[in-house]
Amino acid sequence: MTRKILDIIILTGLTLVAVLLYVSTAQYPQSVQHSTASYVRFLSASLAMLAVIQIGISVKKIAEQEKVFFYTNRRRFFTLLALLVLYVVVIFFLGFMLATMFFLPSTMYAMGYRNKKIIVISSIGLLLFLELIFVMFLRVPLPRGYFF
Amino acid sequence: MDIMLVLSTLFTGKNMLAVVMGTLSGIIVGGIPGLTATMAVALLIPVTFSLSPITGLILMGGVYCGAMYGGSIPAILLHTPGTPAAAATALDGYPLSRQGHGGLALRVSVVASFVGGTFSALLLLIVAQPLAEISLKFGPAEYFLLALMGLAGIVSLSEDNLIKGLISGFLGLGLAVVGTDVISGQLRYTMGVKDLYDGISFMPALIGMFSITQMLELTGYDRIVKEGIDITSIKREKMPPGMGKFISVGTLTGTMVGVLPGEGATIAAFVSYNIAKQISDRKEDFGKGNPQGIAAAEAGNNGCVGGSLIPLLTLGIPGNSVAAALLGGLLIHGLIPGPDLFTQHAHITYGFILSLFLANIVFWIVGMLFAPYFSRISLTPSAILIPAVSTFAIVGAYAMNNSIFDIWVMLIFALLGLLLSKTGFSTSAVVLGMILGPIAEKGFAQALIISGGSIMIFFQSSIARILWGLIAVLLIPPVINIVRRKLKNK
Repeated sequence: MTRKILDIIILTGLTLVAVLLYVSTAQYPQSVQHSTASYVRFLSASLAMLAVIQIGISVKKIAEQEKVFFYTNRRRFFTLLALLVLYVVVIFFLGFMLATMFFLPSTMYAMGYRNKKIIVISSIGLLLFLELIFVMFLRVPLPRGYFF
Repeated sequence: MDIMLVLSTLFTGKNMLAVVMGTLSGIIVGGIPGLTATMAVALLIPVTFSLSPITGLILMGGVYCGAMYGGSIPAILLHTPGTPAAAATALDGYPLSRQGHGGLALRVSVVASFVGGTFSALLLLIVAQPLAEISLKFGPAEYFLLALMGLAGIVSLSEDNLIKGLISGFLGLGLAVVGTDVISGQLRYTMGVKDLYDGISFMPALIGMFSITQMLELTGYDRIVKEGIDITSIKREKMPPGMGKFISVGTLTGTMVGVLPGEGATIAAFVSYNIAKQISDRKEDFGKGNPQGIAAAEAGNNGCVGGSLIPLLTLGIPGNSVAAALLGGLLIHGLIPGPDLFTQHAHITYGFILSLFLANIVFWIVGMLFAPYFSRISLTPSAILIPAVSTFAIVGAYAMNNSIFDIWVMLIFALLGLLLSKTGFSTSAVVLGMILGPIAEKGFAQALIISGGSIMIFFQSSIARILWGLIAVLLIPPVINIVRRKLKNK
């Protein structure tokens, strides 16, 4: 996608949100109309004004062909994104430890690391470190899953 | 005060062990995103019950000092601030790491942290009472202006694109209004989601925008240090000259901001960074790997440590959440903040203050010794680093509120951060807005209620006028720079 189109989409979205935010302050209780509601109105009006100015600048200044690149390595970028989402979903069902046991080695492999010995050692080492610091030392509960 | 009694109370084997163990634990806690000094100090309170009051306090003080420094290590090496206060450090620390100067960045960070922490402890030792009295003169209007002063940093952070920077800041401020209205108690923009009743947690947002965004970026590189850079340069590098000015700015700003209850190390770090940029003769290098930025930010957030203890020990008002947890530690031993602490329990109080100097020395030694080894992280293959950092990021996002929802918040903010940074918006300004938003809103709303709706309250007191002056000093030079640059380009 070109930079110009992306800019216009983001800024239009922000303008819309700012307008909705401004309008919503009418529903604030009467007691805060001159305090927090004023603050939110100031924020939303400023955001809308700045976004509209920037739309004008982007339309005028950004070259038509200028593109935005979100990644350098497309395959690895989307694989990591997918693995992260999957990791959180698996945490929800299986809990942190089991999910991490799958996430660490599979992500290392997916990111291009092939030394199996290092993958196993670093995954186990990291899990032990997390268990030691969070659970045993600080007693911070790690995410528990639906089943475990 | 009997100095010999203070020294004999402090210098026991048990207390020295407490300083070392506390500081080392603090560095680890501070270095892991999502684990905060507040959490560690609060967890230590029941442990300290079985210890003598001085040993317990020393342990907690060590954790506080160590954590404040520890946060800078992953911020510099991985663009993952261990504490929110280290976000400002990442702005120049991480670019330095990518250029193969991670060791230098860590060295600057530890020296600045040491100076900031030591100076603020010195002020705590000698002028605690008068400084605490000044802090009481700050009302809601002054707190709003202080938040505004922090927000002035947005202009400085976005000199390349001022309007987009301001939009990012307002976006952060807007995100901060989600949750419960501080004045009416009414829920706003929560869409019925219970996890949003307390607002969007800024720690998961910060981790997402700084850490996960960076890990996604790193998928295109084999390691953090850029290709073609001589990796031997990562070895011991000397302190760059001229750091003293920037460390002094950060130290003074951090200590003064730390004294004010409710203000935090994050504001101190960003304000210090902003001032440093204004006075630097290498302004254009800020955000691209200028050690002056690291020096100011780190001295600023460590300067808060002693500062935040001033109102705590003299008035019983904690300067921030860590000081609030420390208050619990004092009370559990029957030590009531106030004059008694400096008379009846002087040997404990002064022993505790002196232990902060020792804690600073401990982290300085650790930092100086291990900086070249820590910096080797930037040579670790990305394929190992990405899953490891992502795992810590997920635990960190979860640990703040024990909420899976916060992990999703982190992922959403990671994508938002990527989108914003690639299109020229400032993710640092969004985070700054989210952190300062609640302080600004509360101060603004309370001040208007007190004044009956008159905005003149923001100009009435002499402190308010001084703060307006400082805001102008911070805002005018970057705006002039931008205008000058635009005219030059035409």
